[in-house]
Amino acid sequence: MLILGIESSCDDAAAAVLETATPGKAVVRSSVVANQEIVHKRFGGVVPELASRYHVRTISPVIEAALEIAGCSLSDIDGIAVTRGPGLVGSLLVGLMCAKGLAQTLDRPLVGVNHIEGHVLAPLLEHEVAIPYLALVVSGGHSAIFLTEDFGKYRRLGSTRDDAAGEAFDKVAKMMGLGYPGGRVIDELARTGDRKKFNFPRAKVRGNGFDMSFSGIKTAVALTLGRCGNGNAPAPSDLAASFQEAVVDMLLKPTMEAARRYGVKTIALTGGVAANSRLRERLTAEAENEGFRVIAPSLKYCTDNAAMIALAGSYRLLKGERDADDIDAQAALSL
Amino acid sequence: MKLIVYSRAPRDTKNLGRRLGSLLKGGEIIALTGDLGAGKTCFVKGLAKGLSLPEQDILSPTFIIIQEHFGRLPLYHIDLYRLDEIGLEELGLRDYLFSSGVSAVEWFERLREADELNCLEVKIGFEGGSVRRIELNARGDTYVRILHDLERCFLVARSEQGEASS
Repeated sequence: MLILGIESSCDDAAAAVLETATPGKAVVRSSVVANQEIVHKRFGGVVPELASRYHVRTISPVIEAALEIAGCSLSDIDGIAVTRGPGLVGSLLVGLMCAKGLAQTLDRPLVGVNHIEGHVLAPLLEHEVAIPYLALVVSGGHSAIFLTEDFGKYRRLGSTRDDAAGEAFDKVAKMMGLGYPGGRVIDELARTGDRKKFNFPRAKVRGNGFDMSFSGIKTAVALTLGRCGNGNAPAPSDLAASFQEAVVDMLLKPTMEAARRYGVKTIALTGGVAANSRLRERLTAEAENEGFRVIAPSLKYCTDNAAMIALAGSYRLLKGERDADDIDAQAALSL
Repeated sequence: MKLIVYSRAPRDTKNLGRRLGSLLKGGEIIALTGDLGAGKTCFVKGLAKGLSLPEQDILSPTFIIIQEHFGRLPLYHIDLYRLDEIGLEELGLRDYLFSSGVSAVEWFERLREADELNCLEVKIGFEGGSVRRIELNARGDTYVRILHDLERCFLVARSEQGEASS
């Protein structure tokens, strides 16, 4: 079965063609992403109006490119999977409307996919992973730990109570005058910095579960920057390294506890922040030390892409399911 | 009318938000300003409690800009952080701000029409450590009344505390 995946939840417009016969086993025939970073860079963040306008312009060429690389045409497609949320509503609508139009014209089934489910299943694009497994999804908009029990069956064990981890990276980078996006710059700077220079608080979230909080660390960095004044500003590398170490600690602790509690064998690290070198390094070391296998998709499947959306839609399409024509975009869709 | 409250910790900021939330009747605009990490989202968590919403539902809306919640009244939690400048007519903001729900807008100053709207300004400033100076400023009669009620809440709370300790 050939599945066309379409993704436009935030600032990337993406399309992919996936070939699959069994749920969770697929070959990516193509995966194309049009990144808007250049459009948003001067604003220091994603501008929703610009994002949706840009999607309108790029979505068709992106789909055409995905088909061409896959060596097939629209009529070869057996089903369409599209992101319906969460994300920016204006952006989501562009992909969804396009997918609906194609599904109706081609008379093919369409399924709406939760973007987070895409991230959770992304590791399966390149690895064989036994279910159940634990997925730590960390990006600019999300930070959560899921237990994947089956396709379509995910238990959210914990998530952020305030800011997403990637958001903390972006905001701290902005406070430090490092520009947007912040993840890469901080990762780079941190390599030469002293991770113990500043002892930032590691937030403990009350209550059961494996919830996280990244709002306090942002405040702590702001206070440190304010306290030091202009005269004796802290070395950016030390600040970046200490901040990053605190964030990594706060991600690892609940993840490791959840892995032990639920007796999984594999921990998957996905989402844009999975690109962070320190997070990868420490999770791998600590998890492998306790006998867990750690897998992380390669960068192109960590960040937003349509191959993961096609995969997340594939098990439903394979069963012959389809969504109704009036399926809607939902900005705050939860998994 | 203006009211200045010092918050010693996030708990105080939330409490102030909760008191304010419990006084709202719908249609109000709460305009939040203050630097990154000052406690704007924290204040909105309290506000949500005052509107009979669980505070855990309130996450930073930075990523999706507008988050809708439905408690005792609808709460529209809006964050203009990612936008350098935005007009009322964009993103359907007008529909939210002039609805019968409560709009809590973070980084309100980025709204082009910010100075022209009646609203309750909530300015949160750093005062060293975990202390924050929260300045509430009523712009318009409705908001003056709300601030009066809020002030009364505080006086009552203080006298009750006084009685309890004596």
